Amino acid sequence: MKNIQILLLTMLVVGTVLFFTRNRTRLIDRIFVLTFVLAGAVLVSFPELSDQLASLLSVGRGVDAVMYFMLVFLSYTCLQLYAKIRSQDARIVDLARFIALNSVKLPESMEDSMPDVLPDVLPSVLRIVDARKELESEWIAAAEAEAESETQPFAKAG
Amino acid sequence: MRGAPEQNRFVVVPAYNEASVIGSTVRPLIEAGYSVVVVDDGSSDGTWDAIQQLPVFGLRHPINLGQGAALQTGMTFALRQGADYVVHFDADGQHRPVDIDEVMQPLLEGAADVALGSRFLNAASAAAVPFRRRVFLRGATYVNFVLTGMLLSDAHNGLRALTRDAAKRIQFRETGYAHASEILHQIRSHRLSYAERPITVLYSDYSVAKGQSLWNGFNIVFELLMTKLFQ
Repeated sequence: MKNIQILLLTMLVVGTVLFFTRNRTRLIDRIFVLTFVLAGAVLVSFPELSDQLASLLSVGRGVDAVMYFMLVFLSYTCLQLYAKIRSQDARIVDLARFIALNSVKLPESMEDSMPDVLPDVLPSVLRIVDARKELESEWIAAAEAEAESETQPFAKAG
Repeated sequence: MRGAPEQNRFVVVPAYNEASVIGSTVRPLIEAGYSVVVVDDGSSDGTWDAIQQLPVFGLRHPINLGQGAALQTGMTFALRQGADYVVHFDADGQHRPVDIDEVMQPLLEGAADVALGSRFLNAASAAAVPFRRRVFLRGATYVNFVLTGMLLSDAHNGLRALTRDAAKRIQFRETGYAHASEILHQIRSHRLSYAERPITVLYSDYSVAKGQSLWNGFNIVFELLMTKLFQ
């Protein structure tokens, strides 16, 4: 086995391990990557195969044939990624629009405006906030009383 | 009942980093009685604070999306508020509030579903357009013709008026400046009627600096082609 073969096979194995451990992927992606890696491993181990493939396709050398396939494959991947980015952008736009439409500043409210989030829910939210504040002040009072009772002995001792 | 019909006319003003001019752009619109919707497109310069001082509907994108997206957000909101008509109006002060009547007229007469402002239909207004802008816009009208099949006198004019029905049907998917071409395409595909009306574009140093370059024009064409490919 030549050094280059060892190098390439190692890279393939490391890449595959990284892909399967780091990325949570769909089944279709896994099948795709596995096929790709196996094909790569076979071609690296038996380089004569690519020459046979090349002559079958009337291409001069095996390396050229592999490169042509790579080119097509990479272009396809680029387009696929571009389409994915576009659909992701569209979703980001929808999300940002949703946020904008749910926190509208009204003409009546100049200066510090209350976001217009579900106005009928607002009173109950405010009640909860009030109740919470009341509870907190009770806790503070209790904690203060406790702290005072703890300091009492010292006060007496002093 | 002063201003009653104007209240159902919603003027949508997309604003990206226009803090210094948004007040002076919007005030005459409020005085004219229109319902004004300012969409802050994720500005970083205090545009949102400036909007707080104004009696307008203020919407804010949490991130910058582009003019087309801001217009769409404003239109969606205006329709929810029961708008009978939606007007697009630029924030940088390049449009005159009086020209809103001009683009509204064909809609009120029932002659068109969409009215597009054009700075080239009136000789005085056309002469005021700087030479490079004129060349750029003329080129853009032909690009639009190739891409949308509609040959207009002005390519990228931000002043437009739409009936409620037209505003419902037209959905901008172009988030950037390419929406100006997209609207033509959608007018055609939804079989809406349209009219061009003469309006005047005011060229201040400010609005020229914020205007589009030739390079941007290439970007717009690229975006349009990509949308066609990836529909």
